Amino acid sequence: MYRLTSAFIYEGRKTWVHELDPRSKLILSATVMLISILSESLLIQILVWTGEMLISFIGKELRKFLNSALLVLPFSVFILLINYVFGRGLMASITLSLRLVAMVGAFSIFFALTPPEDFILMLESLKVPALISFSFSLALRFIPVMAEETQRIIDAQRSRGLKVDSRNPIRRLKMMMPIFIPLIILSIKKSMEVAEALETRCFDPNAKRTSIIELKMTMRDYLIIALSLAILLAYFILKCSI
Amino acid sequence: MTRPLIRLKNLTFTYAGSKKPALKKVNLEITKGEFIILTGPSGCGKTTLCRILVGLIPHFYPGELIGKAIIFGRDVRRRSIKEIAKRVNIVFQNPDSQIVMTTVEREVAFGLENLRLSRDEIIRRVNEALSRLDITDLRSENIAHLSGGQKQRVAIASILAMMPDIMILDEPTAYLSPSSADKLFELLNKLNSKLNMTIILVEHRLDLAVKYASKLIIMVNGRITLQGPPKEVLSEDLTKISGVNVPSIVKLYHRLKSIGVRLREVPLTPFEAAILMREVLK
Amino acid sequence: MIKVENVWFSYDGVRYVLKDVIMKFSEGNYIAIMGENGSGKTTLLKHLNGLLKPNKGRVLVDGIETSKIPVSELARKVAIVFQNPEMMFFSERVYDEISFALRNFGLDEEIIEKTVKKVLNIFGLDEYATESPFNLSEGEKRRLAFACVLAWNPKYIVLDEPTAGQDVFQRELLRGLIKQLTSQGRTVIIASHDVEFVAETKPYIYLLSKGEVIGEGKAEDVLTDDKLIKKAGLIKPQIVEVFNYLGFNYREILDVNDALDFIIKKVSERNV
Repeated sequence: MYRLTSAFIYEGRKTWVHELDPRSKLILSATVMLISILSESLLIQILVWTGEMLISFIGKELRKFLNSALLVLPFSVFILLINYVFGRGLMASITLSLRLVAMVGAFSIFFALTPPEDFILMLESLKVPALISFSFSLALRFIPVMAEETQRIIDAQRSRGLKVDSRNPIRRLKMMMPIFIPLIILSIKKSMEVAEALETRCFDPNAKRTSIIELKMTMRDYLIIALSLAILLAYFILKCSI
Repeated sequence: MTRPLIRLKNLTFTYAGSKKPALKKVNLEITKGEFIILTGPSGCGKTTLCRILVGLIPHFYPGELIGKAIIFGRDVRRRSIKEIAKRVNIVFQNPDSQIVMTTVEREVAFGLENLRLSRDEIIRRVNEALSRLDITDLRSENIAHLSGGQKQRVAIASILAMMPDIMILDEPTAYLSPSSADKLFELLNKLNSKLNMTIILVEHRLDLAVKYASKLIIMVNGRITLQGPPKEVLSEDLTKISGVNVPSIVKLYHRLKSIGVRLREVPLTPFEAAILMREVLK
Repeated sequence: MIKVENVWFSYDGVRYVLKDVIMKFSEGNYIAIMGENGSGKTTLLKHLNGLLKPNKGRVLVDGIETSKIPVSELARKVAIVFQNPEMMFFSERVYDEISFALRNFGLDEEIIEKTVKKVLNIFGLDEYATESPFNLSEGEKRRLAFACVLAWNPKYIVLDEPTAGQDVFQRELLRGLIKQLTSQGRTVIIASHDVEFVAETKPYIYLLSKGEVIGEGKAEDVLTDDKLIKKAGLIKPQIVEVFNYLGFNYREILDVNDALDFIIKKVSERNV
C-alpha cells in the first residue's frame, strides 16, 4: 500500500526535471490535464497518458508513475463498468475511465518530480495567503517528526504488553486508544512549543515577509512553458480542423 | 560597573490556574558579556524565569506577575515579545519543536525574514551564523536527515542570526553525548568571548559547562538560593547545594574538607583538581 | 540469560546499524551499554524484547529465539523503559496506568488490585491512585513510569538513557532502584553515555561505536582505558582524569567514594 501511495511523494531524486521551477511544471501538468478534460477522443487520452509516461521516464520516476496508474485502476474499471452499464457506448466508457488515469497521472508526475519546499515556494509566489502556504510547510516539516513519535509510542505500549495483531475489529479499536491518546497529547504539546518558538522569532502570519529563496526561471523553464503552450495550441488546431 | 541589561526585583509569578507561585521574590541583574549557568532541581522555576526574560511571560503565559522585570530599560509588561526578541532570545530544549522549516538555510533565515531585513542582509547573516556553528556544509540539507546534534546547531544558528544581546539556551545538551556537549559548550564560550554575547545556560550537567561560567545561579522552589562566581557558590556547604548536580571534583573538594584535607580553592576542571591536590598531598 | 549472537541489523537494507554484535546478559547482573548517540544503543535495546528482529544472527531470551515469539509475550520477561517514558501515559487515573500492562498480560482483577496497591506503595504514589497521571510533577511522573513497567515483576529490566535530563534526586532514585532490583536477582541493563553515573554504579560495560562492539569489561577496566573511551566517543570520569594527571593509574578509583577511600588509606599509611 505504501509503495503505491509513494507515487505522489517526492523522494529526493535530483534530475534536471526535478530542478525545474515548480511553476513551469505546474503549467505543463495543468496543460496536460486540461487537454484530458476537454477531449472526448480515446486517442487523445492515450496520447496524454503516454506523454505523461514519457515525462516521468525522463525524470527517472517511471515506477512511481506506473504505481499511480495501478492505484487508480480499480476506480477506473468501476467508472468504465458503470458508464457502460448505463448505456454509454464502449468507446466512450473506456475514454472516461482512461481520463481518470491520465488525471491521476498528471498529479503523480507533478508531485513526484517537485521537491516539497519548491511546492511551498510556488504557493507563496502565486500569492496564496501566507497562512495557507505556511500551514502546508509546517505540515510537511512535522510529518516525519510525528511519524517517529508515533512509532515511539507504539514501541512503548507494545513493551507493556499491548497486542497489535488482532483480527477482531472491536479489539483493534480498543488497541488504538493507548496509541491515539498519547499521540494527541503529544501533538497538542508540540503545537504549544512550536507556537512559542514562532513568537520568539517574531512570526506574524499577516505581515509581509522578505524571502531568502527566490524562484528563478531558467531557459529550460521557458522552453517547458513554450512546449505546454504549443501542445495546447496543437490540440485546439486539431480539434477545430476535424 | 556596566549598567544591567536586565533587572528583576522581588519578582513573583503564579501561572494562571495555579495556586503556588512558580517564582518567589526573585532578585537578579544581568549585564553584558556574562556567561551565566542557571541550575536547580526539576520544577525549581528555571524555565519560568527564562520565559520572563524573553517576554513569553506575561504575553504568552498569562498569570499574576508581581514585582519589577526591567528588560533593556522598560518593564516586560510594556514590551511585546517581538521587541524583546531582538535583544533577548531563546533556544528551546527540543530542536524538533523549534525548527519549523524543511531545509537548514530556510530555517536559519526564518527569524530574519520575519524581521523583514533586506535580502542581502539576510543572506549575509545566514552565512555568518552557519559558519560560526560550523555547519556551512549543511546549508541545503533537509532537516529530517540531520542528527540530533546537528539539529541543535541549526536551532542555535537560527537564533544567532537574529543577533540578540542575550542568548538563553534551555538544557541544550539533555540529549547529547558528553563529547558533543563538550563541543557545544566550547562553542558557546567562543560566542561569549568573541561577540561579547551574554549567554544564559540552563543546565543539569555542570561538570562540563561550569569552567566557562562567570556566574552560577542556583534555584530551589521558585527562589534563587545562591548566585555568584562558580568557585564561590560551589564552595558553599554541600547541604546548600544539594539539589544540584555537583561535579565529582567539587564533591571531592568537600569530602576532602570533611576529613581535614583543605584544597586551596574549588576546582572546576580535573586538571585544576590534580594541581590543587598535589599542593596539599605532598 | 539473554544472548545476543552475531546480530546484524539494518533499517533500510542499505546501511547496517548493528554489525556482528555479541553480548551476554546473565541473571542478577548489572550491565551498561555505552556509546555515543547514533552508535546503535537504542536499536540494540529494541532487539531484547523483540520489537526489532535481527537481519542476521539471533537474540535468545532464556533459550528462546526472539523471532519465534510475539513481543507481547517477550515483554513479560523483558521490560524496557524508553527515554521520556511519560509520553506513554494515556489513562484517566494512575491506577489504570499501572494496571494497563497487568491487564494485557491477562492477570486476574484481584491480583491486579493487590499488585497495583503494592507498587504504588513502593514508589510512594499511594495518595495519587485516583489522580490523573498528567497532574503529577516531573519527578512523580518518572516514578509512575517505573511503577508501570515494574508492576509485573519482569526478570530483565532495560533502561534507555535513564539519567538524560534528570536532576540529582531522580539520579538518586535510579541508583537505589538498580541496587534493589539486582539484589532481588533481576538483571538490569542500561544504555547510557553518562560516564559519571556509570562510574558510581560500576556495571559490566559493553562499548558500542558505529554499530560495533569495540570493547567490554568491568567498569574499572573500561573506564580507565584511555584509547577505548576515546574511540567510543566518550569522556573519562572526572575522578579518573584527576588521578591520571596525578600519575596514579589505579583501576579501582572511578568515583568520589573510591578516591576518598584511597586517600584516607594513603594518609593513614603515611601516619603509621
